[in-house]
Amino acid sequence: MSNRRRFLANAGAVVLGTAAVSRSAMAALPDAVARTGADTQPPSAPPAGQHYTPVVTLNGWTAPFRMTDGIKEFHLVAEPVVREFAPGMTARLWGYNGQSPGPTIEAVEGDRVRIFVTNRLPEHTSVHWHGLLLPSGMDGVAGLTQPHIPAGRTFVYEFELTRPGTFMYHPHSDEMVQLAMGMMGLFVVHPRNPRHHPADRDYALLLASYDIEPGSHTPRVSTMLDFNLWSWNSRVFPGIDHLVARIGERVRMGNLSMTNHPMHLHGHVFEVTCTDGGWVPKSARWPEVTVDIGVGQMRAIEFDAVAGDWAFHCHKSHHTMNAMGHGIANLVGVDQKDIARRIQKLIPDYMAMGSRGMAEMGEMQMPLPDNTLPMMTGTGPFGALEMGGMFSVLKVRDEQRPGDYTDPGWYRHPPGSLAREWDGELPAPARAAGATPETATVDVRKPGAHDHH
Amino acid sequence: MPHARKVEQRRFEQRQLEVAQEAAGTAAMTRSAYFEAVAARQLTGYFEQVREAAELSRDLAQRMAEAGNAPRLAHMREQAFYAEMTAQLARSRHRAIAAREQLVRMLGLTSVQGTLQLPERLPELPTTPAEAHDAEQTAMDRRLDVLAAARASEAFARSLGLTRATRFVDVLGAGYVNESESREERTDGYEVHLSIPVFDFGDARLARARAGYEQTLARTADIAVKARSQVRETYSAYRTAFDLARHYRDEVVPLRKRISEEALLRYNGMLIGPFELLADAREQVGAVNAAIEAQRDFWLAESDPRTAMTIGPPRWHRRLPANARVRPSHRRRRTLTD
Ligand SMILES: [Cu+2]
Repeated sequence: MSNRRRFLANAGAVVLGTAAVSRSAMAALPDAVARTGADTQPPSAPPAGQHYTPVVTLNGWTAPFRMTDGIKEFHLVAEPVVREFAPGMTARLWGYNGQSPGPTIEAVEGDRVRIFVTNRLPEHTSVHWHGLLLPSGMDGVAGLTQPHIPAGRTFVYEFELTRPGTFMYHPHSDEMVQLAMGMMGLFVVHPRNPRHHPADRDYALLLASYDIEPGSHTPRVSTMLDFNLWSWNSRVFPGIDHLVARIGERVRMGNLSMTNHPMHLHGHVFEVTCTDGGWVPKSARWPEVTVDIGVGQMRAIEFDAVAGDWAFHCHKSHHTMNAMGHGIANLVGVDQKDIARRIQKLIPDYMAMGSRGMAEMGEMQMPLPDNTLPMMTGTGPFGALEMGGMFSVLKVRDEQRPGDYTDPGWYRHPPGSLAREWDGELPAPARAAGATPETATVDVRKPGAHDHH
Repeated sequence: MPHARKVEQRRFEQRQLEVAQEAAGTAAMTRSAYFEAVAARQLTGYFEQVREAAELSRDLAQRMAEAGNAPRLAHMREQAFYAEMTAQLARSRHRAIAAREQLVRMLGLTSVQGTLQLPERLPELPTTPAEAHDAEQTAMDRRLDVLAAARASEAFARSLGLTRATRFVDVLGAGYVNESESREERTDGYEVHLSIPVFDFGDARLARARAGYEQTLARTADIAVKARSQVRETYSAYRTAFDLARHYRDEVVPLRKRISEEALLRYNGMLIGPFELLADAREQVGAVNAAIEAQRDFWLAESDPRTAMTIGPPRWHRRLPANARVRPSHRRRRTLTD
């Protein structure tokens, strides 16, 4: 069958709503706006249609739309992108409109949306609107509900947003590879009634995992489990922007990684107010400090912000690390000073590491392979943060003005509310009956007294 | 000069050539023994480094086992590798001593310690390899066995009382007897010839003698053809050895060095551990070892073209085949936590 005839055959699917767009129709496409930076863009109030409190996509942005005959028109361009994961490391991904994740699509319950998808990838693609209720022919499962969108072609999707909530979009065409390459985005449908689930600040983030070998740029698409970069919106600590708040907060999270992420917020009790299936009735919620987000799930958590600097992170501790070796020898408690001196005769720049733990990784600035972030890094007001991956800080200030998303700096702790070193008398510590402190392998040294040779 | 004395003189000359050939052979063997001895000593240094790296892995594994961080099994594996490397070092040390003693014998030295002082390392490669240019013609003009054959032929003629050379024939040319001086044009731009006098046998009674003379010409041609082939082969061996030694020095060793630098960066990032780093160090030392061997092979081959051009077949070649050399295995080893 010739391409031409195939094209016509596809055109027959117009009735179901998925259509290949002809060249003349391309002229009428809304502009495909692209972004190159990884800064968090301020929330974009809707230029038309019903008002809502727009979300802030951490290190991301919201797709612009135009109104045509009462329909909100978006234009996604699937294409290769360069994404900065954190200063010092960039990845060659596939994404939408210049970034991975793609821009967040925001609209309102009851809106009719028309979304053009132009494929600038080297292979075919499709877009599945994850969690949205729509006609089967708009579901974006290539082969099942539509033809694949060939490279260089544009398809259009059109459907009504029947229910509010937090959703996602991603390919359903060579899905494993395209997800591993970073193709995903958030789709937020605001309630038609603005008094329904209002929030003063609404942050959105998408969880994804990548395996980018140290010294390289492109994710290994065949990795299934042993990922080395755990990202929010294709960023890793210390590249993830802080969340800033005054009062009231909603955080929407979707998980398109390959594993679950127990997301833990310090200093707050929150409730899951929205899942994949919709809003959770108040009577069905329970208070939590950690919410586990399974693969393919979405959760919106809401809380009343409490002043302070609060860690917000996945609680799998290796998910708050950047690329690291998982098979390396454990040298904790192994004295290797003399061995290190001998190794230096063979390898002059060798430095013994790991004898006291791995914290020195967070303290030392050692030369690493190209395009590689330290496995733990970052500095806070009191020293090394020793984090990576899925970690950020929620900064809540009483004086933060509504709508002000600028970084207020580190928290100034009220007098008497800060942990400090004790230099007074110490009562004898109570120990479990029969326990004796183990001193054979623990070499207690004063901080800073160590040497690395 | 009386006829008999002339014959005697020729025989004496021939014997002289043979003696020169033997002397040259002995000199070349001594030279080879020298380079073997220097290289063997240098290679022992390599085995010491490999053994040292294995020892460090062993010690680290032992400490880990003592601290409860690794099973006894991991320590024993490192110990086993170290033990194997110790054995290889012992063999290597003996090879260095054996090579040195070989040289001592070649030199006929009596007091070893006082007189034989070997350098730390092999001499550097020359900046450019010698070109083959006129190698084959040089062999025809100067190589002792070729000259000896030609003179034997001449001596045979003179023993028959033939003195009047009518013309010269190129024994390397096809149909040499009748086609006389016509020289073979070579496509690569130079020509090689070996001219032998042709005598006027005139009288039919000398016909049998003539056949004998032609036999000597055929023998000379045979030796000349073999000589040319040996010149070509030794030059190829020389040139290959040079190219390989330069390849190891300029490509393999620097590349291994860069690989080790990258490995260290990975170690810095805790992407690999000290065991992997030490294994990599052993591999780097292995590349240096291969470079030393290639450098040695160059110096062993270095004088062969000259020998083949001026003396005779380099029959003193007695080098080990490559696969007979013992090297520690550089297999990637599992990490302790596997
Ligand atoms: Cu996680």
